[in-house]
Amino acid sequence: MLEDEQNLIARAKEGEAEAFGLLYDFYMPRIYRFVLVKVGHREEAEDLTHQTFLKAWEHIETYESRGYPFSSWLYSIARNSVIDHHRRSKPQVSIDELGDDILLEKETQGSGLDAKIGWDVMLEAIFRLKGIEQDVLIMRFVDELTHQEVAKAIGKTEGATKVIQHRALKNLKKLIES
Amino acid sequence: MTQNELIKKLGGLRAIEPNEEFVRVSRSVILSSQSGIPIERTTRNTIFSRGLSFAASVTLTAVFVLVLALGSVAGSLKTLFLPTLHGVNNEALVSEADAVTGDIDIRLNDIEYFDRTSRTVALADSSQEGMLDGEDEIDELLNQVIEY
Repeated sequence: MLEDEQNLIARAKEGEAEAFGLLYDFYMPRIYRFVLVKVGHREEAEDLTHQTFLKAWEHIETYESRGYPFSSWLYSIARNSVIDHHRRSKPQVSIDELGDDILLEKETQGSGLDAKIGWDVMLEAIFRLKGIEQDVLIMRFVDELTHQEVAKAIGKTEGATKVIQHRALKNLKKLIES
Repeated sequence: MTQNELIKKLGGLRAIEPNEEFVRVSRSVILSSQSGIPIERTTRNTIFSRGLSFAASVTLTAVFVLVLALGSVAGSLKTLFLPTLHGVNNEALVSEADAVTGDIDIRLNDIEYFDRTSRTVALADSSQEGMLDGEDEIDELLNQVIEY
């Protein structure tokens, strides 16, 4: 969670663009990763991420912080944008492109070609998971949201979220090994 | 692969970062719109076309400012360099201008003189013609008296 987040949200609700800008800076890369791993296409991910923050800024007055983290609110907007996007067009996943992106970052950290092979398999396995399982895995282990935040974002209880997470990991492992 | 290894591998996806240019343009488009007002659907193309139109406005403004600056610089140079042009004798120029002015004055005086004299001559002519007409009239009247 961003430091002084509640104050920033209150100022953004008053229409202060600068405050929303700070929220954007903090959450934008997370939302982008979430969307990109789900749609598998960089330009589509950029469009959807942009629309997510546009909607958030447009409707920030309606956001109520009581028991509903701001991160969960943003992720739920992003989720709906991705669902709408999949309804409009068939999912087109470019694993190679996404794998290259990750490889580029990883190579600078000292990983080699083996890493790319691993990422291709991993990403393909993620794409084969159910939408909600993807959501939980990305939010929990990529963007490091708490169980509570994930539960609020997907509209389930924390218990149900833990069950989905357990099932998602099991299915992912099975897909990778197969 | 254990579950922990799987989780660690998933964490590696954090290396994905958005394109910096996209972030900059998207951020400025969002923040330039007003909160609470419905915004048109924006796509990647419109985001970048807005960026381009912004760039075009900046370029046009820069060109305008450049033209203004060049104009003012040219004006300053003109005032700076004109009085110090080499090969021009200022005193000769002044005396020549005085001579031209004097010549013009003389011609104006001539015109005034001719105008005045021509008016006087015209008056004299008209008065003589009047006198001649009067004498004829008297002669005619005398002839009439004689006839009676």
